[in-house]
Amino acid sequence: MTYTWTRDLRGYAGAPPHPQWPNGARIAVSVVLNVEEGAESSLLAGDTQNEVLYDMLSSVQDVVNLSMASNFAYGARAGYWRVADMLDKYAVRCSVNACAVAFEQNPVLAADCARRGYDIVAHGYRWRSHAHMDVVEERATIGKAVETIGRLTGHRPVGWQTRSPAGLNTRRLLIEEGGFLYDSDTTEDDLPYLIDLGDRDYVVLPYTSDVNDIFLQRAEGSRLGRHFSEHAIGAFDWLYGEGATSPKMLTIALHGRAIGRPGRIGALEAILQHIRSREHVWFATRGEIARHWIQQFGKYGR
Amino acid sequence: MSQYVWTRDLQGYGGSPPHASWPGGARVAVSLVLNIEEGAERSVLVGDPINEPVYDKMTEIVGAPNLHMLSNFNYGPRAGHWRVVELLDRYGVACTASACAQALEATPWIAEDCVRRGYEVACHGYRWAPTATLSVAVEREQIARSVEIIRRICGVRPYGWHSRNPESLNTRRLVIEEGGFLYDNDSTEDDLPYLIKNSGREHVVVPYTADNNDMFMQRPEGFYLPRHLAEYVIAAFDRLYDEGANTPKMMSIGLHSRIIGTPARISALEMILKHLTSRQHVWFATRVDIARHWRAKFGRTA
Repeated sequence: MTYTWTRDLRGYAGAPPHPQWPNGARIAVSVVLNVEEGAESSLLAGDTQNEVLYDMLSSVQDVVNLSMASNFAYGARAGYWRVADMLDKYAVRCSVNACAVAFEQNPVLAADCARRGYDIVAHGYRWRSHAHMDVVEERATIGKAVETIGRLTGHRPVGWQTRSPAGLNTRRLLIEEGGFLYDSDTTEDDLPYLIDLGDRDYVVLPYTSDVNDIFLQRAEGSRLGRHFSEHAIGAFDWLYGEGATSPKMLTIALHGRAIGRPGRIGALEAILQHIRSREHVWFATRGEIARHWIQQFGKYGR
Repeated sequence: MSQYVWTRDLQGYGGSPPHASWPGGARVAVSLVLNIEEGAERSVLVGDPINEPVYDKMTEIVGAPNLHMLSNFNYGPRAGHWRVVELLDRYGVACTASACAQALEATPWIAEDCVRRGYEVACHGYRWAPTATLSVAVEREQIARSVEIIRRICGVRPYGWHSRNPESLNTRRLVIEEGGFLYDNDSTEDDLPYLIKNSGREHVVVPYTADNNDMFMQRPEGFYLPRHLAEYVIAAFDRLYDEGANTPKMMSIGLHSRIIGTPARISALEMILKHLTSRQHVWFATRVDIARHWRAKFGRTA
């Protein structure tokens, strides 16, 4: 099998552009709340395997894993609300990375995201990698996700992020679909960059493998909330320092089932408290950052 | 299977290591190694049977390219490298860039940058893949090709070799046979270099480190927080510094721009450099300088 894929290892090559964030901000902070619960793999939903990415005490693969289903359900039932209230308390409008099926299974939550004015990003139809999808299936999956999220929230998503890894066709299909301004299928940079489509600009808006509450449930992470907040605050402080001359963006990735637990939510408060105590910080949704980037650097205007 | 011929030396300096007599009466020689592997890692995309699995791995993808893994690696040359080298420059320390030849082919501007900053460019194999199972012919050809590529891109041939571990039983013999190498790092078995005297030449083995390495920031048995890596490395330094009053040793610190170069982790390197540069009698050396010193001190011609 031969694959065609152009990899860009150069990027801004050590000389990134000055992003000119609004009001002279030294850093753009994008808080992303992932809503995946109900869209994860499970034999219950007809999948060939149960989701394995979780505080897993026992891996069950030959039958339905109700414990895993329940752990995920916590995110939708309890965790989301705790996180949303905390974000409200610090007046942070997040981007919701929503799997369409997670919204479908919990329309109340979908409506709540819309009511709070969150930026709704399509995080796939289900919480599944597209690495093995054929083009026909993938095109249909993207279309279904857009339709479902639009129906449940009244907003068509202009941003997309695949559960990693995306497939080789994903970006092309998103562009072809026509309604997307950007995708976040990359972790390769600290700043967005543009793709020139000939008649419009398309933004690649990097996500993070780094500041992500998923490490609260992974062996290479930490169980302690204060370790997560220290990690995140360290990243913020470093970029804030660089931002005196070369501002960047920071993504903070959250999941209701991870950070939304009573033992962990304090970490989010510590992070928000710290960042709110600094001047010249732009808390922005991903849509706002993408539009800013097009305005600032785009060829075609918007 | 065939019989293996390999002489293992479990004795080494037998508890009585020689006095290293580092330049300037230094108590410890510190070798910072910046590994350049991005663009040389395995991927189904380029025809490998597997995607590189060594990273903050969320999902194993079999039978299709893992674009997420590639994106994580892309972060090194695009963003991380510049953050790391600026920090090394700020502390004015010597550095050995241990580079896979294929990575330099993919990112020649990184090679140029390393040369411009006065780093030693050593060879970290052709690709970032274990060489344990390569045939002699293939391995010999890869060593020769790597030397040629580095000479062409950097203007000077590499004097040091480091296989991605594990190396093969033939590696050292082939590296010596190539004729231009002064040393290899295919060893983690000591705190001091040693000479291979029966090779017709005086080849130096400069031990690498299995422990002072930012790789542990993405491994379950390692460190999530920057200050934990820093604490570990600083403890190693302090111990060797004490021992160095009588018996100076060397210390390697392994770095990767895709790992330590993220905003959440880079402060670890700053803590380490701040501490190490605050002490007197520390020799920040490239590995080739250490190898030359060792030959001059302990070789036949010494």
